[in-house]
Amino acid sequence: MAMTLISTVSVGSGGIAEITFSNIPQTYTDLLILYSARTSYAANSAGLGIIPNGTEYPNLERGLYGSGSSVVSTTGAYRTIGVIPGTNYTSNTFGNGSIYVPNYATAGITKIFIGDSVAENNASASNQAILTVRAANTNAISSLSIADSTSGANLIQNSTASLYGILKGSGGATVS
Amino acid sequence: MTDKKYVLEHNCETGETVEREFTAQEYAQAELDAQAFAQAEAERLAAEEALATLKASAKAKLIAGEPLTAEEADTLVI
Repeated sequence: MAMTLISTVSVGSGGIAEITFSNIPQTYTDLLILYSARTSYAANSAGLGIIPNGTEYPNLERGLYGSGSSVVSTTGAYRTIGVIPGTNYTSNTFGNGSIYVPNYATAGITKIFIGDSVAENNASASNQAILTVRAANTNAISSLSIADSTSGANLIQNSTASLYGILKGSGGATVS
Repeated sequence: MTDKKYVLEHNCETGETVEREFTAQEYAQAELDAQAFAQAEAERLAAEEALATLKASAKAKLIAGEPLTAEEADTLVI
């Protein structure tokens, strides 16, 4: 297995509502996004949404959320793939997460996004989540966006996201 | 007036990064997503609070030697 950094994006001053990786090479087996983010939303944490191909909004999410003292499971017509800390959490502290996308370049199969994240708080209570989101169709994925799912809030400055391409096979060779 | 929302878009092929405003469709979807998230978050927090209440009640009854309801027992038995 070989993992190659494709691109890294960092949010500048003023923040941004959404980060998009477009024209993703179709030469890898899977994709992986690693992010470090914080939202300007006035709460403990906010959701990070996933959007493939610009406007193909996913419509089914299943999740397992923990808060440090309890665990709940969820399901619904959502696209939340991670949780990120909001302004109620310890300042200057960013949450980390990953989003795995298997077989992204293969048309005709349902795409599933797999996310795990922690809205880091540097305290005993912090929200964590393991989530899966199902894409709305079976199209190959050529762009991926992650967005703050809350109204009027942004991913703040110094939030980053890195896109990696993963090749199956020993030494990165594709196994036929 | 609604705050403007922007996308930081990185083209993996050219290496260029541009900042652009949401399209009308993206604004509309963002509003739907915000409503959906607010609803999902309210449900999650309510479920969390209900579970905490049940667990506290179950623990107190267990200590006092009182019978648990089925819901309270579910919080202790997997």
